[in-house]
Amino acid sequence: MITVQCNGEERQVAENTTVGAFIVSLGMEPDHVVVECDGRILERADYEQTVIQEGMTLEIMRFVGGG
Amino acid sequence: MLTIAGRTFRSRLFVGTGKFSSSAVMREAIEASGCEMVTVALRRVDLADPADDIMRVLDRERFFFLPNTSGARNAEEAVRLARLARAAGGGHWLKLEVTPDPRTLLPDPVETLRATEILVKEGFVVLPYINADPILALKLQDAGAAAVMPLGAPIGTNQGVLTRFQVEIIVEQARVPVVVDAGIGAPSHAALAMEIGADAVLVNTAIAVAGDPVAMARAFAEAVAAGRRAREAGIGRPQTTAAASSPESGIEFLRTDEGGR
Repeated sequence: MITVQCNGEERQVAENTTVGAFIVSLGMEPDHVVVECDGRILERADYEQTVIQEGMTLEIMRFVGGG
Repeated sequence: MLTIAGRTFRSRLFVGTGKFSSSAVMREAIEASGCEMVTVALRRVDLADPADDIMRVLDRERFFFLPNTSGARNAEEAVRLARLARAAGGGHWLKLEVTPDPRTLLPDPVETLRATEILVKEGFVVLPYINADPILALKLQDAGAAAVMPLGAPIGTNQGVLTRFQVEIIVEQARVPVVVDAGIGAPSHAALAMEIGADAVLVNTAIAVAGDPVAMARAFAEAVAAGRRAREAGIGRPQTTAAASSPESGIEFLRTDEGGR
């Protein structure tokens, strides 16, 4: 297992987990979120190619009600 | 029909999706409003509640998403939120809000203009939320804004169109659609905005926190339609002297003090 920061919390992730698989494991739909990986916006097409690394900082965001 | 950046809208009411008591009430109210465009915000996912997903609640084929940059306090933060919203599948339309002062939530004109210039270059369709400043509205239009969104009153105050005089000037000068946003607390406020020539209004709080949000959404739809129709019909100018509505002739027989001539 490796440790990452996700939305301000420490999370344990199995090695060789892709961002796409990680999002699904958290109960979210990859098409409904946007991910910043170490401060860089990840394009959707890259979710399956991007493997989570030890110490990565991930921010997962999505649309919520707003005016 | 209203056209913004080549996209047409039958409804001139845009609805904000914040502050509703539940997703079900939000969806029903939005249906009742007849609106075709809704605003949404972008926020960090609450990992404890991954199922709370607005994209599962609203059909985007029917309700065009207009992401906002709420929470941004300067141009850089707004640009970052805009890029994230686009990557989140929000498309390239944007309600640009830059509100540095949490007490008043009034928009920063300088940062808003700066962010508009940056985002237009990046291909965004930018609808900036602004104070009702006619000079700023023209500068934003020249910078490529697709519409301008002057406030009626500060966000969430329900005060109505306190900026009427300035909005009238903005309407008179604008070559882009004018959407009155913020402060609209009652259907009569929305009707007034339309009567003075706004192309559309954006309402959130007044619908979301009403006793019956679904009924209130319907009331706003009717008020916006009525205000628009009245504007197109031609509204009489206020006068300072009375003018009888009934004929002034044919009443002579009633006069007894002049000998019944």
